[in-house]
Amino acid sequence: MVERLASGDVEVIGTLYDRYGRLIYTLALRIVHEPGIAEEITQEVFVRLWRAATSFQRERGTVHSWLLRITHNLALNEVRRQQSRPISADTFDWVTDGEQLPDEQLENDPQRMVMLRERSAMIQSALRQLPEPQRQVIELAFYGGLSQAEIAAALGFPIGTVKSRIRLGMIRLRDALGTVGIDGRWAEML
Amino acid sequence: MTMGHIDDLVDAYVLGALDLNEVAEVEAHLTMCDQCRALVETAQRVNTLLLYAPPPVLPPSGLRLRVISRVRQEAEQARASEISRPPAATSEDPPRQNLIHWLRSLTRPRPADPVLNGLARLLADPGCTIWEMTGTESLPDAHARFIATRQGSEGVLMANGLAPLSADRAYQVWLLQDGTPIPNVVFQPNADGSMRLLVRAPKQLANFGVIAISAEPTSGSLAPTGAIMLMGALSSV
Repeated sequence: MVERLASGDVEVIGTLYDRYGRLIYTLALRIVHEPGIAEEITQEVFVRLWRAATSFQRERGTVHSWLLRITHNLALNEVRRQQSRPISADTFDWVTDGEQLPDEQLENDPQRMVMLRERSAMIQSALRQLPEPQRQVIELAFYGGLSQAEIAAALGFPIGTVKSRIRLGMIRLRDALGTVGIDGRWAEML
Repeated sequence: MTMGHIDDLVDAYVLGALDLNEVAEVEAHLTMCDQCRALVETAQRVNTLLLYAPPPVLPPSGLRLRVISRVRQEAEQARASEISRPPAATSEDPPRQNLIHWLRSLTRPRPADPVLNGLARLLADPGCTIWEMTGTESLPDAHARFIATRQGSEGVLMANGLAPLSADRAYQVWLLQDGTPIPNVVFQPNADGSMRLLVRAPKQLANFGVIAISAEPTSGSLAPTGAIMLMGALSSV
């Protein structure tokens, strides 16, 4: 489909949205927490896909991982630009936060969406295996865009504590992902 | 760090949690250490999984139409301003020739533009080469092309996907000679993240092995202090 886009077939964007739109919107909303801004970011990601379609190099990664990297960058840029909303660790409670996707909405490619949801649940399960302080610093860095020094200031801990929690947390996360049967190559195979 | 490696910085690096000095330290080390590059690749795979972790959320029902409309609008604007993407390559039309043809078409409507004039001069030279620059982990969706001749000392840089920087920061171009970065032009990208500009080297470009872009104070730096955002090899083709 990216090849069709590269050849100038703009109409294929609808099909690409059906395939990746939910992934993009979900990640954007998780980071910016504002549906309107998440919508803007989703639109911008597809515009960038259109602009970059001719130079997209499949060997550098899958389309969806490329799209999600752009989403991540745009969303964090937006968070940093606003800098008006204090980022609290409480905002990263995935268990209760956000509108869950109802089963009847799994149109277009239900098998794929079920797989995505299962994998998402497995990664969340791995994250839940981390001690809360380690999960907190990883999420503040990755979804909040905070540096170690900013996390230390926000939480009132010495920076050394934050550094060690990130290191130990990532080691445990790798182990936990292995425990739930998922490794880092999964995203490349989706 | 242990034994001169950056293993204790790798996880924070892939999470984007290092400050700029630490990022520069890590990226400088990665250019010369296979062992640490392998560590980063492993950490990056786990990091990538975090992109997929949030439970799927249903987007607003009208978003699909808005996305399609926005992309169509972009496509129409690009066609209208003749700054569309280069046509897709075919087996009869090699990509480089195709790109040069497209770039030449850009030089026609604005003969007074010094960058396009420079581009026209370069494209008329049979030694004209187009080098690709790709975004680093700090700016993976950025992309640029550097158009020049190795025997000349002037080139045109065309970039897109450049993220906006804070008011006190700007992008700076570097030419690396034997691994030593030589400072070059400082610039701010356009609102849409694009930029094209002339890069004038202090000597023939054949003397330089790499072109890079980092984020620096707006006054520029004598040596990189910020993360390298884009990089490309100026190898002979």
